[in-house]
Amino acid sequence: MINMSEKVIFPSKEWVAKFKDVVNSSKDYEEAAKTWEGDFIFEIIPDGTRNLSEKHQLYCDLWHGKCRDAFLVSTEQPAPEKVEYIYSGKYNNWLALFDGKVGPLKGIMQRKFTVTCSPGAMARLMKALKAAQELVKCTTMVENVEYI
Amino acid sequence: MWDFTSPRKVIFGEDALEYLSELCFENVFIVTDPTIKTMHLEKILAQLGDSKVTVFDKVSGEPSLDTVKDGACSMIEAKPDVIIALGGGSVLDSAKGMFPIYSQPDILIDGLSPFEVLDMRKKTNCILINIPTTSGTGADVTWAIVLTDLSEGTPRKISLANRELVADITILDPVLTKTMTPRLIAGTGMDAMCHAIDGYLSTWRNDFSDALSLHAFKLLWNNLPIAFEQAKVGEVDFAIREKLHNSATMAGWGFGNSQIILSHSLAHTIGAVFKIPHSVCIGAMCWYSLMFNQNYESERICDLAKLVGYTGTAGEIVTNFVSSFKELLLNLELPLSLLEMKVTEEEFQSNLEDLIAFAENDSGTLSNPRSIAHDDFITIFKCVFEGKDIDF
Ligand SMILES: NC(=O)c1ccc[n+]([C@@H]2O[C@H](COP(=O)([O-])OP(=O)(O)OC[C@H]3O[C@@H](n4cnc5c(N)ncnc54)[C@H](O)[C@@H]3O)[C@@H](O)[C@H]2O)c1
Ligand SMILES: [Fe+2]
Repeated sequence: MINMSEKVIFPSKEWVAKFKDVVNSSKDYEEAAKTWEGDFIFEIIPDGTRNLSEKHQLYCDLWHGKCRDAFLVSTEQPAPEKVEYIYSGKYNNWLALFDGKVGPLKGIMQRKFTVTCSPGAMARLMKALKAAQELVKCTTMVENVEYI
Repeated sequence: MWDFTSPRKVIFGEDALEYLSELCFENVFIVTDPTIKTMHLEKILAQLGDSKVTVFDKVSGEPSLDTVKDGACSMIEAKPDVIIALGGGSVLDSAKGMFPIYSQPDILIDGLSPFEVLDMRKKTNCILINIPTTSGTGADVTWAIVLTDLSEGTPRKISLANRELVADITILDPVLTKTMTPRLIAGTGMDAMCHAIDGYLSTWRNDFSDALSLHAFKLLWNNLPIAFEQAKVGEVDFAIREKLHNSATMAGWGFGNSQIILSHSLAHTIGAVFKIPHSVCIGAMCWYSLMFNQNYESERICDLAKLVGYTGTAGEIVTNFVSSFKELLLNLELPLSLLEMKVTEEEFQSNLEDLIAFAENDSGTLSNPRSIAHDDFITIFKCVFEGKDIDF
């Protein structure tokens, strides 16, 4: 069981574990993503903001309203060979997203984030905007976060 | 960073169609529908000299992905150096959907990404000219296409977008609007008015979209009722028609560079599920959207109302404006509820779950100024069905 009141650093293994827990307890996400099938890499690129010095990748396997697996990609724990979506942005933009100042879609239009996926996968993503929004909401619900 | 996208040229006013004769094309591909073909095609052909012309006239109202694929096959065969889309939003959207397939036949059109580099013009040496025949959608200048997806049981409208879909040239000749019925003037005019309002209220608004949305709104509010009344007695005042035609395109520029809101999420959803033309339902959906958003965007709704002469306290202005909006719909003889749009209780109840799911995933919901919860949608749709005020 994850202790939500414990301070976690973003990005870290502990943050990912808390995030997974938040997603799996969100009724709103579960409802919005009940037919969703597809895994993501969320990529955080250092841009001189605060003290993040390395690129971080967070792998998330999302399936029928639940997060089946989530971890910080590393040499010991690499991402699967084929990941459907890569959602990537600079650290400062991630912080703005967590703060609710940038939406998941508007952020892409503003070139704050990029999505890399196949055309078929893009069609499915565009029909699942509510799920994307709820997933972003989950990131803002991770408590006691200290950003690097 | 934000983009403002626009056609390279907008030709407008009396005799604007003659501009076509100043251009030189070898191989023209015209996309239109059967009604417009009969009413207006000759006017275009008269400007094209001895260019080779292929006409695709199979566009139906609220077009499906299949219509687009069908037209694209003919386009690939014809290899045009110009595509001319002549018609209402259905025709314009169809042509905008065909162009990427022409440039890349294996493209998955429903997977079109807003961020993809398509290089359509480079690959085909072809350009797109839009000639709208309704004063409504603004699709002649937007970079979105709205198509009906019939592949998954319940029909669903999907919005596809890419900035390369914006036409190279748009031609606004009010003469083409002469044949519009009063009902079409009212419905498409309210679509344009809703675009102006949406563009101004959406969370994606910006300085450029604000300027266009505000002026378009003023022109539409002041001219639409006159054009409607005149059309009912068979009168055509081209000065008024020109104002409507120009403002529909300006509103398209406005919302196209900002976003739509709740009004369009609702209209896309009921339009696809119950097969109600966009122009028939959008006016009423704009009224529901104003009611739902009125306490969250009162300052901006006041801006709009003041432009057309409303005075008083902010609260009075918003209340009076929202009730005048309903009156306008009644004066334009447009339906206010799903019941009036001939949807039965049984049809409504059996589709409610899909309606909510589709509306929740429409891009208009994401950029609505007030966030919309699942339970809000249940209440909103019930009001939309019965024609009741939204008061929460
Ligand atoms: N891409 C966008 O940005 C955008 C914006 C709003 C709406 N739309 C889409 O546009 C479509 C609706 O377009 P619309 O409202 O222009 O209607 P439409 O193109 O479907 O036309 C409606 C009817 O009016 C007829 N018509 C068109 N012009 C006429 C004229 N001058 N005289 C007589 N009859 C005429 C047509 O033949 C058709 O029978 C919908 O599919 C809607 O979803 C797209
Ligand atoms: Fe519209």
